[in-house]
Amino acid sequence: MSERSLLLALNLDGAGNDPNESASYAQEAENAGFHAVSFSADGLLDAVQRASFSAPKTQKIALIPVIDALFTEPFHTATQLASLDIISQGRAGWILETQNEGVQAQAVGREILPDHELSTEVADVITTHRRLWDSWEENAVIRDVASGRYLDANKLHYADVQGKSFSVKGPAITPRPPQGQLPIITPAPLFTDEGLQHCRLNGADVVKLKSANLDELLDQAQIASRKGAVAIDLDIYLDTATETGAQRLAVQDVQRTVRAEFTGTAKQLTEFLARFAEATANPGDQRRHLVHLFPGDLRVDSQVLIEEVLPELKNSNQLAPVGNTLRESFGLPVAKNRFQEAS
Amino acid sequence: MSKQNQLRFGVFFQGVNSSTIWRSEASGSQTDFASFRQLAQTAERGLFSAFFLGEGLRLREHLGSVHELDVAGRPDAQTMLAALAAVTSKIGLVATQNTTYNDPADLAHRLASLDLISGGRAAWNIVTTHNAWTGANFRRGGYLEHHERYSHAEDFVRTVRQIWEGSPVHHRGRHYDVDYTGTIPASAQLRPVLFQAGDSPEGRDFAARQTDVIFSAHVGLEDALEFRQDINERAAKVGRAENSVKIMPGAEFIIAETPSAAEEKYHWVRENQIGPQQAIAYLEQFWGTRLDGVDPYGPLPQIDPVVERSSVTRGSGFQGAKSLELANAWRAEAKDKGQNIIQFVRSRSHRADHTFTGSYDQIADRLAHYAGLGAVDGFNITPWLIPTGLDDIVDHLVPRLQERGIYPEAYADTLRENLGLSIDSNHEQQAIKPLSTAQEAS
Repeated sequence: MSERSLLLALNLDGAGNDPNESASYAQEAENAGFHAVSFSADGLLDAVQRASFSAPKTQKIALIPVIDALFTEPFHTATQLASLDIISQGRAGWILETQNEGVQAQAVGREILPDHELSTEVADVITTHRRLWDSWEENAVIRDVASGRYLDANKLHYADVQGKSFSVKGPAITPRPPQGQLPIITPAPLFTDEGLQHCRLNGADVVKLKSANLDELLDQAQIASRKGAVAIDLDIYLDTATETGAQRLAVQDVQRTVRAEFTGTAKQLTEFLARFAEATANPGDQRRHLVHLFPGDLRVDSQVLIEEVLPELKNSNQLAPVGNTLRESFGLPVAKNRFQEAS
Repeated sequence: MSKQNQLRFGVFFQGVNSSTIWRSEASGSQTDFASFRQLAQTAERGLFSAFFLGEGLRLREHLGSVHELDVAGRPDAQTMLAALAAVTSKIGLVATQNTTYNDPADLAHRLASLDLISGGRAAWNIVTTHNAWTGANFRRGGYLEHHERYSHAEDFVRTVRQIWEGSPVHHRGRHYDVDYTGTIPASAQLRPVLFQAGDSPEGRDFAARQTDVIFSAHVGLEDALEFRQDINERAAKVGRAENSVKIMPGAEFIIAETPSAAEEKYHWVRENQIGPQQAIAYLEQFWGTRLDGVDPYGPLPQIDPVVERSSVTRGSGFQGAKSLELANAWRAEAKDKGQNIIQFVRSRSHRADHTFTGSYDQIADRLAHYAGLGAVDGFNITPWLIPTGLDDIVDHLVPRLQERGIYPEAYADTLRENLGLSIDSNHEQQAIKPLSTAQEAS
């Protein structure tokens, strides 16, 4: 069955540094039935803040910032993401990136990591987030007047992460986020040595596949989706009444990326998305899989998406229902608290 | 009355302390967005200049385990303020951020980001921290000695400012290097306003050189006047004009229609802030041991402290002291005043001169006196109830202050303007010059 397994996210970087414009695109995407909008960091205002600004202005759509895992402080990013989840009432996620470049490293006075250390570092960073997010049990705030206690210290836990290059004591400074654990989307190439299984052991929820070739992406998605939720990135240049996507790609001063490019009509995109849904369908599996769209021109492409692509996907029953939380949208089970399980 | 003698209000949603009442039915969530939104929107209705948030780096601990008795659990300041920017339009948004466990490039980026997202309403309340206990949550661990914290902080602030100026920064420091070029354009107020709260001579010099506003601890009138003079002298030495460093002491307001109603409210507030368990825990941190059998309604403990120096509740603002000396002095003081433990601790943890208690008119008159003497530029109010703790101030005190001509009637566009600071292009120059002088001197 390929029915209702497709998740769609729209990247909003095209709205630039105007938070109101960004929020109004988020509202339009929400009304059109997108599951999520994303905010990446490069050159623009802080991605978490842009997501957070949009939170009070939306109700259902998930808000997913892209955050680097190498040259940031895990304690801070865990707090920021938990806070975004609190503010949005369970609509936050994290697209984890590894910007292992000199310019990123030098900004914080560090050096880039050797390739063979990347996957350990990322695993340590993910573990830190997971353990900090669990470090408050859900009912740690007890407000017990009789004993004079606001907190129950027995329900707070040290994260006690001993990573290879850093350690974090905990507990978190922020209570457990509404989702318990935010969905973490991690790039697959980090984990090539031991394959995708390795990645999941280290706590990522969704693996983002990487190829510049559309057919190859579908092949990868078919294999990887047997083990868990997958995501693919697409740069899109859609045909309009006045111009084809290919013309826009050729004419405009377009910033090309490493992502796969899709040019064509709304109908062709719809067909491609249906193929993705078909490729990732596994009988009896409730998991959903994400296509993350990066519009060449946010205004132009989002209009085609909203007016033509989304309605057609809804009609053909391809789109997964939008959950109350991002975990729900992904079909992920309720996140158990590792410290509660242990006790 | 001239504009210069206007008072401005800020509100400090502390999130972690003993002054926020959690026992009352009126006590709302400390972490839900709805609480923050309600408090910020109430403050904006009252034309408050600024909404402050603290920063959490490690959960407080007491005698080796998590401190249970006070409110705790804070969302990230800037993430929360970015969301509040969407539901407010004029109030300033102030994030407390430390210079020890942040990176200058990252912090400069996020603060500049908040400044643009809010349309020129962001500020940075600069704090320093140094201990290894806090560092256990961060990549660097504990790396900074106590005596280095201000020189480190100043280096850090200088780097952040250079990043905000937009030119490539190549900083080589004692503790870190930074090679970075900012990517965010200036906001309507050019760059975030700088607040600082340090009170030591070193902290005051730092403030006089670097900051726009001091979030001071000097609330009593004479104390405030002395502090104003001291800061003006320090600022003059680095070439800054008189009163160019604004001063907003932290304060608590317990006010009501009549003096007797305010007095009644005062007792209710104090009883709910410090319960018997908190009173004992307060002493335990100085005694260095559990005081399980001690009666909170009896005299101070006769047993002596077990530590030479107090082991204060970590993560709190208390200062260490020699324990036995302190215990003896406190026992004498409590006996002298006829106070039991709980009364003694209530009097110590909430200094009377930090609290304005009285009828709306009484307090409005007192504040008019402050304004007339130019003792302060305003107050940073810590509400004792979340999220309704500003309601009576906004509904009853603010209109009386406006009637007396000592409170704004409307907002300007940016936080800088709302604090009475200028946005001229020379401002940056003036602020930067003394830095290089200080650099050469060191």
